[in-house]
Amino acid sequence: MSIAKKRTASTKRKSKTTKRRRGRRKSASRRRRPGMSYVISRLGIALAVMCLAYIVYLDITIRNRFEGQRWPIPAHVYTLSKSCRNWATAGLKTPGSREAMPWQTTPYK
Amino acid sequence: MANNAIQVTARPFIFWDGARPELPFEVQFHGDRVARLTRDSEPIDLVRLEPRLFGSVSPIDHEDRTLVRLDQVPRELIHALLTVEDRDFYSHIGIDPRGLARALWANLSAGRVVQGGSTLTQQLVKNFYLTAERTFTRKLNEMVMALLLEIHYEKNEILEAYLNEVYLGQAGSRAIHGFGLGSLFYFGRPLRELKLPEIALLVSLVRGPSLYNPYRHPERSRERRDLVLNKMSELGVTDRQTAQQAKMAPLGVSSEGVQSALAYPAYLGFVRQQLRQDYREQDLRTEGLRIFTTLDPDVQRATESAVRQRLTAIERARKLPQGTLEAAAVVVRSDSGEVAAMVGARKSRFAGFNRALDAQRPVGSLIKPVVYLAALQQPQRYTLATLLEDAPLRVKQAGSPDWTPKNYDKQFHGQVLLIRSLAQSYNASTARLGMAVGVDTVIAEMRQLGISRRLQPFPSLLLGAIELTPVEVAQMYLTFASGGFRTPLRSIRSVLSQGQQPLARYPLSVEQVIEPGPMALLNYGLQEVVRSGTAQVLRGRLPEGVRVSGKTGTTDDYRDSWFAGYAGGYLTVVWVGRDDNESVGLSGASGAMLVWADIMRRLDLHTGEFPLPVDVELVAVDLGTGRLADKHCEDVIELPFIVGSAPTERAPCASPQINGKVGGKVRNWLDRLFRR
Repeated sequence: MSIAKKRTASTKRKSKTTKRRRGRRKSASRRRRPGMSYVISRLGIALAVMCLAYIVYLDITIRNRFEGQRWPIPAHVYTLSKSCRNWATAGLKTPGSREAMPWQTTPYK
Repeated sequence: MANNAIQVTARPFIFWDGARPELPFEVQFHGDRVARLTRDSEPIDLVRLEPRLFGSVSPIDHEDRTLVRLDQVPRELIHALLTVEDRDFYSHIGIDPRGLARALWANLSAGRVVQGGSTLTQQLVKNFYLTAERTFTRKLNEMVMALLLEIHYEKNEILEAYLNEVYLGQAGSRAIHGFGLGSLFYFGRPLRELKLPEIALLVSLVRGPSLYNPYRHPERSRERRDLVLNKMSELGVTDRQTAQQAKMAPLGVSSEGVQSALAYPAYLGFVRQQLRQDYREQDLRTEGLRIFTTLDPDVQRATESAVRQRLTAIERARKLPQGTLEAAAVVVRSDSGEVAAMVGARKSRFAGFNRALDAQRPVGSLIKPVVYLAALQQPQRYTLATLLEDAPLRVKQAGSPDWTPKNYDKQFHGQVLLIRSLAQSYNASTARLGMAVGVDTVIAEMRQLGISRRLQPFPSLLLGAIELTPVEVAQMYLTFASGGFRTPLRSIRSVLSQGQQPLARYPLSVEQVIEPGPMALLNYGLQEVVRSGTAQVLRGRLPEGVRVSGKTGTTDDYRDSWFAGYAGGYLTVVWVGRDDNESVGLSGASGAMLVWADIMRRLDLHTGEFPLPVDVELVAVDLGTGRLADKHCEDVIELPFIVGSAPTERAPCASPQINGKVGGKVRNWLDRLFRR
């Protein structure tokens, strides 16, 4: 809306200046007057379309990126559980520190 | 004694068989041993320690992230975040002029930037870009996109995305995105377990992860955390007393060396592979799974430091350029096939190329035991005492030049005992043996041992001109180490659902693929490698009484240095070489084997003999001829034979038949009696 208003204002201003110069470049300005507003309005439309296209582009970009974020909640991964027991050595070599789980099976001896 | 006591509190943890609440207890030491465990002055036998959380995976996707859902995020975190970053988040339209003005005012009155004017939505949009350049167009784009995002999505969706996307720091080459991963990285615990001071610290990192890095700038980090807490109490999100208490707390970040959350990338890669292999996909899609692995942090640490230190030492000793050697190692418990540790790179903490799992390298002599096993399974044809000919050989290969195997010492050794040929890793005699047994038979044998990849039946395969990964080699040798049982390598003990139910897995098949007799013979041969063969250097490097079986592997021009061996309950495979496949000038014994010994020395190995199967007898033979020996012979070796396959002819050095009854089998029978 405001763009349209501005355009009419600027064409008025331009028409004044062309009147002043009418004596010298009469024929040329007469041909330019409708052409100017035509060009400007077309330029405006083109600009608006480009703007819109750009916004649509941004919109697609942002939506793709955003949708890409949706993964399932991952699983947590744990090491072996160790235990602290009487008479175990404090260092690495801890005999018997390995703990058998209920489902741990030894397939053979 | 009293001075040697410490107070410990075990963290609460939900074990596979139920929850264990927080447990304070006292440990008294005697020397380096735990002398007494007490709880409320009552003696107790043992305390189960929580396993370490070392990763989080989306079993289906390839992304390795710790995503959080909004309802899993502590309320305090959201309050803290909105307080410092975007107070009007729930009311603005994506951009927030009021917030901008407020930030401007705050910055002007402080004389420096203390507040940003971007909304969370704008920050999220900014995070989507890869670069952080600050131009006017970028800012404009950012605002438009923020508006668009708000049009399409709910506030809570945007907030959730923000929580998972925000950049919180750097771990080596890896960026830490999201509060879930941030919590693991800085505190080694899942987000929902964090307390107020820790939450405030994470939130304070949003503004500048490197500026407020708690490791590099603990003071600054603390100031920033306290600022967050102050703001929270100012706005009444938390009461003054709680905030005051939180400010008393230490930073509480886990020490840099043990940031276990991301510590074992190679092992994690293996876990992911096995998840996809052993579990149904739809089961893995359920959320909140907990995976209990067989990774032993102590063994893993020992393996990492052995690899790191030994490679540096080798480079120094051999004047190689520093940092050119690479390595991979796999440590397996040989009774169960459970992988205890895996190192995929010299810098084991950095995720990258996982050589243990993915590097396919020629295996060289590591393949030889398969050739000998194939032979020993025909006891009427081959025994450990069979004489092999170590002499030049020419084999025509379709489509490639003739194959003329040579020995590493560039000599041929004439007639040698089979066990000697294995122990000394002679190429010519092994190639002849392999050709006699048949390349196809050897390939079939490899299949039996657990190698599933396609193999071309070229004769050069007999000397290891095939490429395998360290994990594949471990799978193959595990069958040896377990006495002939093919057991799949495994890293996962159990996967529990959110409701504590174990997930069903595809059944594991443990199958006896090698008869105990031939297996015992091969085992004996692999021990001979250490007793008198290419791995002699190992003697004395491991504790007394630990029986070691192993094989060195070296490839052309010394490009790959391998050692695979088992002792005292562990099987370990080590590869050393260069990524660009250049020569490293190391044989199996001068490279990988040293790393192997360093790893094994740090483990808790058990001692003891392998009992011989009932159908195997020990017989003394003459080393030169492989025939029956007695006390008159000088070079005698006692070898196991499958009953009925021992040599019957007497060696030239032995006395004639008459005394034989005392010297020959009867003595061996007595031997066996006392040995068992």
